[in-house]
Amino acid sequence: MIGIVLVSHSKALAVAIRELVLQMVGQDFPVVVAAGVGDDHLEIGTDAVHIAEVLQPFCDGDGAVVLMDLGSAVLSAQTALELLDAEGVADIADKIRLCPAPIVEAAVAAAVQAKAGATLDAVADEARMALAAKEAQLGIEDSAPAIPAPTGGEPARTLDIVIENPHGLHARPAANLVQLVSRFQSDIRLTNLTSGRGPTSARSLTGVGLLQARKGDMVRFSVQGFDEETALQRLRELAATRFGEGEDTIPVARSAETRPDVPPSGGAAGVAASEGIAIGRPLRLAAALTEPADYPPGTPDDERRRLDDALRRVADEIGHSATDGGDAAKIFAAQALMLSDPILVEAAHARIAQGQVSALAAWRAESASVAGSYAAMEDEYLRARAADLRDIAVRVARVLAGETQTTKISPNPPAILLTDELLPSEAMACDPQTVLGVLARAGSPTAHAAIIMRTLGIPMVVGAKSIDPEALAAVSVLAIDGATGEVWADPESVVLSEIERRRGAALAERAAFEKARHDPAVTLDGCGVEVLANVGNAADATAARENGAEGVGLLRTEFLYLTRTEMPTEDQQTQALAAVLANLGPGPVVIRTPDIGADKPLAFMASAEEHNPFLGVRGLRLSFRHPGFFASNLRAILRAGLETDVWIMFPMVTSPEEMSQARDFAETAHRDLEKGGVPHRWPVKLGMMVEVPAAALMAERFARQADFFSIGTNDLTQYILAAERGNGDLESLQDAVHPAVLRAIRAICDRASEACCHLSVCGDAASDPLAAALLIGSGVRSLSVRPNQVAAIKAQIRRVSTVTLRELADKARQCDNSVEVRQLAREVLADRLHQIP
Amino acid sequence: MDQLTLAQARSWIDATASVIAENAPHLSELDQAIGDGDHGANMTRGFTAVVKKLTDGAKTDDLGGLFKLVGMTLLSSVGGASGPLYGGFFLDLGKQCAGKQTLDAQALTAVLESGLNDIKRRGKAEIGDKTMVDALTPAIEAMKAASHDVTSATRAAAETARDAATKTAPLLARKGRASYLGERSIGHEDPGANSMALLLGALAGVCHE
Repeated sequence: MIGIVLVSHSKALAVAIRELVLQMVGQDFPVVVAAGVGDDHLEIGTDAVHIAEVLQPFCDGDGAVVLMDLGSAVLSAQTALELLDAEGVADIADKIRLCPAPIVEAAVAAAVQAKAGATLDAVADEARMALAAKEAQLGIEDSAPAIPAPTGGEPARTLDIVIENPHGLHARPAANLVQLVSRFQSDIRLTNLTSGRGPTSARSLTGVGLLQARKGDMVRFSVQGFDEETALQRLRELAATRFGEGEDTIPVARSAETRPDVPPSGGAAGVAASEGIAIGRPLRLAAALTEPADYPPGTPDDERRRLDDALRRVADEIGHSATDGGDAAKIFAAQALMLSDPILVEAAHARIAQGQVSALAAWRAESASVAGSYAAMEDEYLRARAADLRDIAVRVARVLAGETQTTKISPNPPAILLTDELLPSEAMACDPQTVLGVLARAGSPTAHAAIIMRTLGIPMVVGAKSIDPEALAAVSVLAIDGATGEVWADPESVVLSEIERRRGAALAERAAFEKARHDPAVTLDGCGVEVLANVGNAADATAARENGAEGVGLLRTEFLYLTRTEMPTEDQQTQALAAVLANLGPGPVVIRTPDIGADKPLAFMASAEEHNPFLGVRGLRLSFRHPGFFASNLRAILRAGLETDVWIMFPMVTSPEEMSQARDFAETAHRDLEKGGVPHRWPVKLGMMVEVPAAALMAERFARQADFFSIGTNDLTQYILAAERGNGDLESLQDAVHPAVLRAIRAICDRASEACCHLSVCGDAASDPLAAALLIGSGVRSLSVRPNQVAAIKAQIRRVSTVTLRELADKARQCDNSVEVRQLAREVLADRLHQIP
Repeated sequence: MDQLTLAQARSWIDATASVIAENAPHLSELDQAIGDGDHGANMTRGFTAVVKKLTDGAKTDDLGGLFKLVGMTLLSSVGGASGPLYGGFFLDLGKQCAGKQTLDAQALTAVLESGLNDIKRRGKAEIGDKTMVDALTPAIEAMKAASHDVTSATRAAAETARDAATKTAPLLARKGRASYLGERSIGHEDPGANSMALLLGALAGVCHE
């Protein structure tokens, strides 16, 4: 495969572009950074010698397209080629292309083409065309790539499809399409029938982008060639998954646009945004919140400084919230960008410079104007960002007025809040005990506020344009159904009792399910199974505690590192870990040292490009190569865990001496802390993930070194079945209930039990009721699951007996594949199987 | 003095490193006016790295080896466009001097001229584009016209380059970051021409002793 080399003055920039590329084409794509200068290449500049080193392997391999930013990047890349030539490297001219295209656009376009298996020239050509889509979007014509008229022969077969992707055929779905098309020999063209754009070759990402196929547009594939039948079939399948975007996109089918204003029987209508039924008194949100008051302005210099200080302070606060890795963190990261938007900040500065105006008034006026322009955008997604901007603007305004953060919104007595649009920070401030529900005239289910409300479990209906808030505030009983978007004002008693019945049924179902969540999970024949939670951030920790987890079987620490551009200090790691631990309930907490590498590379740690990162330097292997970093991880865990029953787990252990070496590291960390008089937890249990087949096959050798085992079913499955986790073509080989994996798990259970070594399973299989049943049948007595699955898995355990499960597992190990195993399990468990996903 | 020796060439590099470091603020100030303001810092980083390698005992048996080491180090440590330009310049010097222990005035002139051609080729720059070429070109002409001893040839080069660097002020920049400024680049001396003048000044200094 042709690779891409990113030459930039800034390593941070190049690493970020690399991330964009990998997001498009998958983590195994060869895109390499040759950027920066000085120690660790952290300074701005380019280094010809480094570039030459990076390029050399591509000369021996399939070749690469080199994309450069400006000035010395070009000079250094040229010089690098001369250096290679002087060293006698062959084939430079055939293998390396320096490409003048704009680096960001070209990187994405070239990567898609390269991933599809194109030649060096084709990849370079696609890169050079990369500006075309942007030019077309901005109305600079003359850029659409012309493709020759179809050649003679049989007429092409066609397939018409309506685009359902919320943001149209944008980069990611278009990339999926191009990759599929490239597998066929047939000529495949695409036309946007709605806009009349095209036809274009469906092999070109740029061409597909130029069609500007939006949601609702009808596009036509014209396919001609000997493999057209299969191609059409695959295209149909891909389109059915919304070009691969099907599952991870928040559905906007019931968007504010498509919903008629006509109220259904019973009341006004809105858009469902957060499930649940609320019945109660209405309360204007504005009544609970006051606008910060203006103050007499100081000198323009003072006011400007005041504004800059406020922006910095809010940015810091946001930066703090943005480190926990959850959905909210993404929201705050987007808001932080708005704070430094020069259009907004410079306009506010200019207004202040004119004099006689406070920083607060200037900021309020300018932010309202920018938010107004967002709100006027055609694109629903961009419109939703107006709320983010208004929200961040209010936060800044509060700081300018000397007020502290939004206080908790907690109406007394409890009420359903009425507002024009719920802002994300307001959503965060809602108290789920007293905010019964929220009804908003604007907003969308994709807005950040809706995501937060779903997390808090507060029902919400948005986009209820036809309601009159003043009139509605005066009613005595308001009811909303966040699952259907229905709204009732002062419903008649018959209707009210129907709504209450509906709510009662929904609550009872949930209650039955959740009532027993804090009880231990015991099988019908009296065998206890420990149910722990997998936790990746502070929000997970809260969910784990509330859902009844008996401890944490896997605390992933990657969140501490993945989003950072610089290595966090030991103190920073300690604080972040302590914050997560503080949210947990009682019970042991297994903290895994960073499992970095493979699909999770770090921005601040240079890693060599690997052909097969899942088989490369990852997990403990990487930790050993960065002993200083590793030691700081261990010290941070021991310090943060002072008050907690912390166990330390090492990932990717392959041979027993690695486990003992890791023990030495942990003991050294303890001795160092002790020497420095730093309070910390010791002794702690030290154990390992069993995910490498070598560890599974010789588990008894590890049992001498490790205090406990935890089976990582995802990686164990991928390594045993030689099927990469992310490869969509290999789904049938990614199921942990495959007989080969079940055999390995059974063997691990036996060895662990002989050695009295604690054993748990923390892979995804444990969260799947069917797979969990097979794990218990194989001898597993401890499962660590997703926080929101704890109650479901406990319920599953209570419905079965280990005798049945053991027989089931024995038969499953004799099956030929995972499909047979699942079928068998469904037959055996029948109605005792809880909620098959 | 008839010959530039390996020891003197080594002193030249050391002297260049100190004079660049001393003048770094000035070079950066010039660069701030018409570029990205990092020329002083970049050149200092480059030559500091060179001196560190030499004091750490990198082996340089002849002038070729010395200049090659300087070139490679500058390539990998300067960062800006002057990295490949000065780096390529010294690499070319290294190629011309392979196996040589000394250079007489004529050979030194020829070697520097070859280096100049490398800079012009790599940077696609001609005289009058407001670059280091504007300092080095007249300096080499002056060396050719001077008497055949290293002391006076290098002194002529240094004086001419110093003067030529000043004369880059009225020129319109056509290369590098400064060219984005167009007319606004007029009235400022070119930082690259200045660092080149410092380099030749350091050479004259060691050949004078």
